[in-house]
Amino acid sequence: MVEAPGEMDDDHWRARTAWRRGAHAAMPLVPGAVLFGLATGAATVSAGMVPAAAFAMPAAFYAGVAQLAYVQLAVVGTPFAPILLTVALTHLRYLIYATIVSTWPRPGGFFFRVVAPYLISESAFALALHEPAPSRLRFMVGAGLPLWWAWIGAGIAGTFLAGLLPPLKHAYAVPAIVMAPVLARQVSGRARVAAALGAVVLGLLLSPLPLRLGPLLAALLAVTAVLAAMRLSRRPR
Amino acid sequence: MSDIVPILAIGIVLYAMKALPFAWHFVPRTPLADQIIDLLPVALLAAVLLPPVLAPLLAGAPATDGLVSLLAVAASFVICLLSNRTAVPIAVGLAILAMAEFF
Repeated sequence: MVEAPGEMDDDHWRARTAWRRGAHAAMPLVPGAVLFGLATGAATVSAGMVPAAAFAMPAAFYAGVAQLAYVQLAVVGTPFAPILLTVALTHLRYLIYATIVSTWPRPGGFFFRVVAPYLISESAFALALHEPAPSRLRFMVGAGLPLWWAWIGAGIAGTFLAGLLPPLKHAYAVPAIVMAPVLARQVSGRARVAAALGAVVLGLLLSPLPLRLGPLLAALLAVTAVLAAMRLSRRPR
Repeated sequence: MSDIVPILAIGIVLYAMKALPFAWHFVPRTPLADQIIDLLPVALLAAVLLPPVLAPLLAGAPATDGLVSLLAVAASFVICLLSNRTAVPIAVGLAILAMAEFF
């Protein structure tokens, strides 16, 4: 049972209720997870994966791009090692998300040590950035749970609906529409605006790079450029 | 069964890519590291989300398709800035896309 505010200090209360606020904040993003999950599940079966594999993948990978990369390579008989390398490279940005999450204060216990990293997704991570640091990890886990359920449910439903779902012309825009409000709240201050604009321009220039390395390199280069500009502008003349 | 084993093996690797940095805590808390941690999420999200929407316009795809996607994303972004809400901008953006898709 959660104590009422007033019986504990504000910070403690905020931390204790963060997972619930995270789950609440994630609800508007659930339709995006459902649409992408349905499309990914359907694409997995349509490409020729057996149903058992298609059911296992949403939970085992919990990453749509990695799942699609695996399917594209597995159905043409690519050996395991190149598939593993390819999928790991497409997943590299999660390494960065997890590295950033590792700097957030962490509650103790098995759940936060073992399960919380599994629940790191683009949406849950981005939502948690608005939360004050002390309760940020609990908030991300709270946001991650409904998104995970939506992803798994939609992924499995998509395997049954393969062939029945109409092809969407603008499916590529769904993640950006769903995440645009989260991004809009993050873009504040000159440095962040510059980093975001630089990342978009560089992302366009580097988009031909294979294995979805373009966005990763674009972000790293944009941040490096902004930090260099900040250093130079502070240097005494 | 043989189809599941490589999936589980890759699943473990993908989990390790998230769990190891999380367990390791190797990021030093220096002013530079704090600045990188402040800027990198917004740069990464912008680089992942926006170029796929802008690229069709620049690549000479049918102009209406690219413009509709851009309009839907812009609507979601701007309505959030104006209203400070999340659900309404997403609903408007998806509604614009659905209208373009089905009508």
